[in-house]
Amino acid sequence: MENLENLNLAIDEPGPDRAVIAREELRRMQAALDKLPRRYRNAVVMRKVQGLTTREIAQRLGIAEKTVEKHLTEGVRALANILYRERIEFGGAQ
Amino acid sequence: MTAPDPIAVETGAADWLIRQRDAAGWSEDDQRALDAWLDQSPAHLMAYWRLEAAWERADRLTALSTQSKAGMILRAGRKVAPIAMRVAAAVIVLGGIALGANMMFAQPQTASIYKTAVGGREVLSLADGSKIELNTDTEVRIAGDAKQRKVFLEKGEVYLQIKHDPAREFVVLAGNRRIVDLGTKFIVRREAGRLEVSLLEGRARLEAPDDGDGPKSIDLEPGDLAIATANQTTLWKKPVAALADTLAWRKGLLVFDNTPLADAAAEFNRYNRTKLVVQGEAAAKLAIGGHFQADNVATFARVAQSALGLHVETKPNEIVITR
Repeated sequence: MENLENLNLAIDEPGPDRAVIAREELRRMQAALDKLPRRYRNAVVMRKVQGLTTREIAQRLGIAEKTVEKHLTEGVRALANILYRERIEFGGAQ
Repeated sequence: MTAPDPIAVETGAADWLIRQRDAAGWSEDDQRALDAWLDQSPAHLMAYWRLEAAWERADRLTALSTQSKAGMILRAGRKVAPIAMRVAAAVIVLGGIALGANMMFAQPQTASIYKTAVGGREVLSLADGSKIELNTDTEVRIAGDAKQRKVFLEKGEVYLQIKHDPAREFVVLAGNRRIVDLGTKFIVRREAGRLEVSLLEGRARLEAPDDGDGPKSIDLEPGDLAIATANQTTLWKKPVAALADTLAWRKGLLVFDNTPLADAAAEFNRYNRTKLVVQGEAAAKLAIGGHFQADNVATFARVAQSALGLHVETKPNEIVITR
């Protein structure tokens, strides 16, 4: 529960119950995670849920550290593309 | 200078991020090299921040470790926790809660109130096949009888897709204006002293009150944007595609096209409790474009800071942007 309390949420006013919002965010993140290809998902879970370093993940899975890095790199890219669809431009009216 | 390949930039940013966030093996030299890479172009910065935001959100997944010691049982579709309530976009039904949407309009004399919180969004599916989508901070009251379906827009913005029924007209009431559906899709947005009606498909009639000269009404066609104040209505003809951009909120996005910073900030403020304050005319007039997540004020502020070279001060409930 501690993790749920510490979430950095946009809503900082009393409003809907914080714990419920936290669960909702967790659900959303897990849904995003579930969309990742299995290899990337495994690497992200070992890093984010189990808190392992790249080296530890490599040892557990019996693969090269570079490969783990690749899986994490692709994992974070995929997560960002699921979570955010931003495209930003700048105009010049000064 | 040719524009950098966005995929290459994103991959580069991801490499840096993953290496930097690894608990082992990040040196001061590495940090200097990363800083230099970020300084090379705003595109590098934007890509890095975007990934960083996603990666930090993923920290929340650590909560799963307390739920499952095995840690790896993240099966697709598994529910994390029983979610009894729908939150951020919660619709609070104050009246007729037991009736539900299917009974809407069915009973005379009953009115149901539907609200969304700041940042919320909700779709009401009506028994007659019509749909009403509520944007952030919106309140509607729904009533009706055998002859008429009525939606009172108390505040906020709704997108209506109406199943036309000549025997039972569909009317939106907002302040002293009435909008009568003649088979259409349209948006109504109500703010203090101002009402906007954008027509995307079909036809609708906007009626103003009788001020002595008899009632005035305007028949709206696709692409029409009517802006009504207390006693005046202005009609703008726009491409339907431009009006459709204003529906980006249905996907949680804000779309700006050469929009002054002050106006963009006002849009963000509709969706967030942390308010953006743009001080000074020089900053207010800077133009910005693009697609933004409506709930991601932080990214917007960072863009203002880094790409537009503005000063950004983050306070507990507001972010102040100055030149």
